[in-house]
Amino acid sequence: MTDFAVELRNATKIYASRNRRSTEEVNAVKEMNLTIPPGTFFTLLGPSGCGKTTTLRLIAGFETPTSGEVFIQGRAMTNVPPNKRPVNTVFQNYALFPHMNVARNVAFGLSVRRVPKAEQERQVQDALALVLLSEMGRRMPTQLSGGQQQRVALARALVNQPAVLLLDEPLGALDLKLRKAMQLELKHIQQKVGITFIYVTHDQEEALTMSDFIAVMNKGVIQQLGAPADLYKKPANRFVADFIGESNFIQGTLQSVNGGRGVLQVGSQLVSAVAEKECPSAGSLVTAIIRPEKVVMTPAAAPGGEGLSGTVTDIVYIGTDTRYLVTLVSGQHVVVRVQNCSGASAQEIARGQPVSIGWAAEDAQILNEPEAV
Amino acid sequence: MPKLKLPSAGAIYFIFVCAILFAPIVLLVVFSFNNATSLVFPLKGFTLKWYQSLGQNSELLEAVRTSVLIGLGSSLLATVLGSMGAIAIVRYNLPGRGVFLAVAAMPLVIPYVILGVSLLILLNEAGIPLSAFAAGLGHVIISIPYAMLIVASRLVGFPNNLEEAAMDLGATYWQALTRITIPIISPALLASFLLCFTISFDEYAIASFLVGTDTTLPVYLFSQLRFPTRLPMVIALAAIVMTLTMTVMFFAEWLRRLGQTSTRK
Repeated sequence: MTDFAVELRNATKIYASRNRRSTEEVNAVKEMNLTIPPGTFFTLLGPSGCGKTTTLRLIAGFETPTSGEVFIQGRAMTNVPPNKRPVNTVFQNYALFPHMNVARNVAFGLSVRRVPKAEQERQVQDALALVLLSEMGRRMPTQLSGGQQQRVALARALVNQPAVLLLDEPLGALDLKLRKAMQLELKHIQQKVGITFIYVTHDQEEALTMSDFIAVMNKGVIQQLGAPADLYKKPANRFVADFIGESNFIQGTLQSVNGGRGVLQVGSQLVSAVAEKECPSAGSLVTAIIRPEKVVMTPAAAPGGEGLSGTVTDIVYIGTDTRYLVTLVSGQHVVVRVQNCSGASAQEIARGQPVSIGWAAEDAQILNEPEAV
Repeated sequence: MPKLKLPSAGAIYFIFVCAILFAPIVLLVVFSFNNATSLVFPLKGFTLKWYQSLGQNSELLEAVRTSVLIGLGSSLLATVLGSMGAIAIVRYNLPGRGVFLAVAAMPLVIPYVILGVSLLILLNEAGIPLSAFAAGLGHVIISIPYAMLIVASRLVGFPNNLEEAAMDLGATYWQALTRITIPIISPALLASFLLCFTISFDEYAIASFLVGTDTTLPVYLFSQLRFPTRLPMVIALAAIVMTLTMTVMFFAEWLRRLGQTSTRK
């Protein structure tokens, strides 16, 4: 039987936040069930305050769950202190020991486990080589740049060969260019060492770039868990659709559901979209989601058939793409993204021009939640 | 552009305050070198005999020894206890933290005479004889708030997840404390030790109640003021004590600041 790297069973964390007047309870993580397969790059993604860091701290052992259980490699770890868990953490602010040089920082975990000195030195060198800092062992942390400190923190954790490496928004303090480089490098390192990485971030692009699996969290609950492409193509709900990438939400009345296809009436016009099994029944008010780059826009008004008529109200040129804001006859707004290919005809569309938009039915999806009227 | 032609009102005021503060001390030092027993102008000439006479006074040397011992012991204990209190206050979100802080800081505002009397009564009831040891205990009580505040300010200055990081890497709490926390706060610990030492070394009121037949330096100094002929010698001693105390205090403050800047980025 293969064990999961990490498993949470009904894990709940309630904080009592004390202030002068009253004690308020904050339910940071609610009844979470989560299994993380070994050797994967797993990301907890969500806005600040969604409970992702608390989840990480439950796994690290800095917090004990109010109820529920934590397993690491199949062993119960719920009440095991952090120093006895086979996990290591890379902290957001790096948490390097300021009074030790880089090599001693990296060697810390080995030295508390009484690894022989010669062996320590060899492993420290290997770890520093892995993060491309072989020459920096004698420097003090304050003499390093942010990116270098980040690498030291990574080496300090990896040198212990943990079963699971926890990373708490480790790239948050770096500038954009460095972030991008480190994202690829982290992914590369993960593949090289084969250790399970659990990565916490609020940056959806970062999550999509690096992860094998992403758990999107909001308000202490996992909204959807899946591979990046699945999350992007088939968001389970409005929150996921909105949080990952850009989405258009189009409201309409569901006319009919037939063979997984739903026909939506928007104003007086019809469009179709994928309707899952648990879709609301025909006649109810629903929302369809469609990604801006999947919308097809044509200059002329549609003669009869499928498609929605509207007017281009704004055009924004963003380099590789051009974004068109289309106001439909029904008053709803739709964002359309058109790639700027060579000799693109889309550029002929001007502001104020009447257009017709449509999409392939399989690209749009009807949300499984009834619309509040 | 330098424009210090006329001293401003603030500068004049500053000089005035300094003069009021330091003139008596300067006078004291001047008279300690004066070749006369009475402290009156005009000066009678330069001499070091008052300083020389200090070294031959065995009673005085004994008092210095007692004061140093009390100072070392009480400042060590106060720094240990104060640091423990500081860690509790800064690192743990304990219920009743505010009350604890208020109680621990109380000796700062209680007059030492009152504290001395109350400790006298308490020790009598507890059957602890009056001695240098008892005075030392009193000094621990008045030193703890200083130790706690110095160490706490240092603890606030570095992120507590360094300890978390250490434990995450496999260290026990004790290892995290000895290998991470204590090395980082060591300048504050030393600063606290030095400051507590000067507090104990200079303290008169509590010591006079509790010291019994032992004599600390300040207690000895006061007792000598009854003899007018010994006044210049007492002044010479005061000048030495003052110089040493100020040196230690400056050093302690320098250490404290050194520590505070080194962890900031």
